[in-house]
Amino acid sequence: MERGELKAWFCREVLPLEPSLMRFISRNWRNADDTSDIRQDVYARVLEGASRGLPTNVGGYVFTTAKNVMINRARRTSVVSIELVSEIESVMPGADWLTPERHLDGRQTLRRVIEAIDNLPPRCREVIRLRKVEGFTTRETAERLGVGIDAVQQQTMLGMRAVTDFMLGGEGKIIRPAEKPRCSKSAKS
Amino acid sequence: MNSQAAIEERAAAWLLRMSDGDCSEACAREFEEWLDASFEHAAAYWRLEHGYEQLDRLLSLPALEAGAEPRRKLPAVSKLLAMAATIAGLVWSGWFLLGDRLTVGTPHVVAYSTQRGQISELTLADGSQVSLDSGTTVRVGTGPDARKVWIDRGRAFFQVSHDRDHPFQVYAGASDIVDLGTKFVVSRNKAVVATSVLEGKVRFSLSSPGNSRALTLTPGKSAIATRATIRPVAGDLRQMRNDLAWREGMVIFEDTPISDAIAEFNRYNQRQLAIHTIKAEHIRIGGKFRFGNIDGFARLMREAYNVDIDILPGSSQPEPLRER
Repeated sequence: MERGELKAWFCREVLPLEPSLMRFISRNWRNADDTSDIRQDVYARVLEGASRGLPTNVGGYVFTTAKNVMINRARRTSVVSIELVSEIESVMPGADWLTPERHLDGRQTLRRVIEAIDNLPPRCREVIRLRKVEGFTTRETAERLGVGIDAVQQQTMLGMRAVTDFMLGGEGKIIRPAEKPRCSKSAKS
Repeated sequence: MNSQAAIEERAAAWLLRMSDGDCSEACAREFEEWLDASFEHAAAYWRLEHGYEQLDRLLSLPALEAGAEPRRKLPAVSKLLAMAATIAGLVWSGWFLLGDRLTVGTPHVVAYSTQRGQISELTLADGSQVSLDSGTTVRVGTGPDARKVWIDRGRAFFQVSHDRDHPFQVYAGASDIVDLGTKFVVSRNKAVVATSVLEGKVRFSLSSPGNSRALTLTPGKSAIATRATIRPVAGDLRQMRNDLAWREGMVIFEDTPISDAIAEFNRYNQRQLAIHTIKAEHIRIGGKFRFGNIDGFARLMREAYNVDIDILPGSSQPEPLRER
């Protein structure tokens, strides 16, 4: 399948399920720090499967994949709990799988946008505001704020991730890297 | 198991690069390789791109989706902005962030905004009146910041109570508008700001450092400012008054190309008009319409001009074709 098609399908059919998916993962996995990782695992597998053939029931497919991801993880952790595994195996799909939140009316979606930006820490928020509302580039933003380009890039990337998390149905917490991220030479300007 | 976090960071770095337009051919190839290397990369990048771009889509929508590109000579203020600014409505509750100049934050600022299709009238403490067009956000200063208004997006019509000792000031991006008289309109779409004066005088200036360009505008005069320039534009009082019809919930067209008229309607409505007749661009229309009545307008277009026009349900994003 052509990559553009796969991407379009993913954005249109899978991403709107993120709120339901995150709720499902949180309900069934004790360690809250793992939920984003699990989500990404699920997406990667869904893409892999879909690249071979699009599922007819997307919600069901994503749900089943999520179950399997969590079961596999539970089995791999050293403190394996038989109860955990069987709990996950016995979960039935909830009604919310049937209502992907892609039809949020314009007002609600926009409210989320504002909340998303509001929830950013001040420096990050200002950078995102200058870039998105004012339309400044990285360089222009750096000049306006009197900071280096690196700092603007950092804040932009943090903001991108937090806004995305929020927009797609999470809480948009800023995840600070434990150490400075090592972008390869080619990913920096 | 933190590899996903590392992948997300990498994806963000790539997205930043792409959105800055800072990617040569060699870089683009490297990006493709990275993207293809694993479905985890694709998942992270597509998700981030989708989420981050939702912001763009919702914050600004240029919309010439109806019919052909209209030809323009010297664009009058309102047309330029109507073209550039089909702005989705925003409910902006609590974001009282600082002015555009990063002054120290003050809590004496209240934000007001209108949604798509909504207009609103504010009366300020000093008696000044501010009318907000559809999809507009302003922040109004009170207390020590009284007589100051920031316009973040959209269009507002000001009727200012005159006070020589405390000039009324509007801040819009990189420009300042200082009221020297009474009635004027300010519109803003990102970095483009337009001002028109109905009565009295305003001083319209750029406030960026090293650049103190200013124009004094009298009734009937309009000007447009970007971050670096400010220039007068064509227009007259009659047109300006027509362009204020939104305050009564109306739009006025005079020899207006039909695609412009449709774009204007679409700014005010969730449901969108779409025109299918190929040779429609030569059709020009005139008249005064309630902008909320798109059904009436569509019916009129069909009957009077034989134009094939549809009303699509409210979605600002074109849907890709799906199999049924």
